Amino acid sequence: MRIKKWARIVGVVFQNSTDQFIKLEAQDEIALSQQNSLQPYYWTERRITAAINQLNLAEVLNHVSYQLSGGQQKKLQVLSMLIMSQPILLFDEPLAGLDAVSLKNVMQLIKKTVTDLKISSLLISHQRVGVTEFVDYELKLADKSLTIEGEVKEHNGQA
Amino acid sequence: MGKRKKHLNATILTIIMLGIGFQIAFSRSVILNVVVTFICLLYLLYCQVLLRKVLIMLLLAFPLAFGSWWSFIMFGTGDTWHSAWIYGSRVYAYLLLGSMLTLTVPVKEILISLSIHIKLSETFVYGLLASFNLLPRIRQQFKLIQYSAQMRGKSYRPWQPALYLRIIIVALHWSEDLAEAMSSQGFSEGFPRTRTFNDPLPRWQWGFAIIVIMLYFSAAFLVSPW
Repeated sequence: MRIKKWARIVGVVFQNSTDQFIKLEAQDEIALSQQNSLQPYYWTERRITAAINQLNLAEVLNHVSYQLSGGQQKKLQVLSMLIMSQPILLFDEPLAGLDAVSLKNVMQLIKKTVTDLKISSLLISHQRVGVTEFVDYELKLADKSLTIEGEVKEHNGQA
Repeated sequence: MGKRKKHLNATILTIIMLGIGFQIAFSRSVILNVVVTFICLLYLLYCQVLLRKVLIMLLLAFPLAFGSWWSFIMFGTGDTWHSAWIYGSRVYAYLLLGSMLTLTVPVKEILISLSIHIKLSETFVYGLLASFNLLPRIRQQFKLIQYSAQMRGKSYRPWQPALYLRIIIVALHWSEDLAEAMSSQGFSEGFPRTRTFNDPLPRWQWGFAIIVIMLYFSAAFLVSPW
């Protein structure tokens, strides 16, 4: 299959935020995703504005993406890819540089979007605190082996 | 290592390449171009460079050589045949002269050899080494940039400035990383450095380089064959 077709099926949130950005300003970055979103009926203007406010990005929309702080870049990057809504979304360390409040907001947004749109997502993170409650299954990579930790909802009793 | 001792040192090869290459630009001898090409080819075979690699190189250069030759035949004045063969064979003489260095010695060895024997600036050497070492990473980054754009419904074409803007931004990040990496490994510009790299250069090779360059000079400008 050609890479172009893969790109419409598998979305990746890169570990390095600057690898993700296409446009100079944050608002153009979001506008581009909105313009080419695979779920345009879900990502309405209202929903996007709500997501921007939830991630506390409203004040930096007219800033150059490359000049945002590490945490802001991460949030912008995650939002851009969530708006694109490929059927499979891979998140490579999407929580790096986020404070506890931002982390919770980002995870809530990811969880809601992937549940609403039935997106299969895989999230790689060094951090477990505040993350496991949002995931369905947890796999642990340690000592060169990948083990299934099981359904997380069984452990913490959440749906 | 024992095998390598038979080869010419990278610095000597560079001096020969520059010394003869500069003269080729002014020489008007087809025979000498052919002789240079032939000797370089023999050296490549002696160094056991892959024959397939040499053949591909020669084939790729053919359109350039033929183009030069043809343009003199078509548009040249005076002795067009002589000029055509001079410029056609000159392409191969330059190509083989350069490949005598680049196909037989790794870039790292060339640069370190030049820094040891002809005092090429170490900042320059480190900068070039970094660029060559970054080549695989540049290829990888290029693919990443293409994929990131395709995920967002855009495609970059080689003529689009946006592609180069992103490459420049990445390069700026890398240059900071590189400077940090160099200083964290103790690199200070202009300060003396210890060496672990051994690059023997026997004296006879200096003499050999001078003789070869002088021989070419005498043949090209005193004897001046066809």
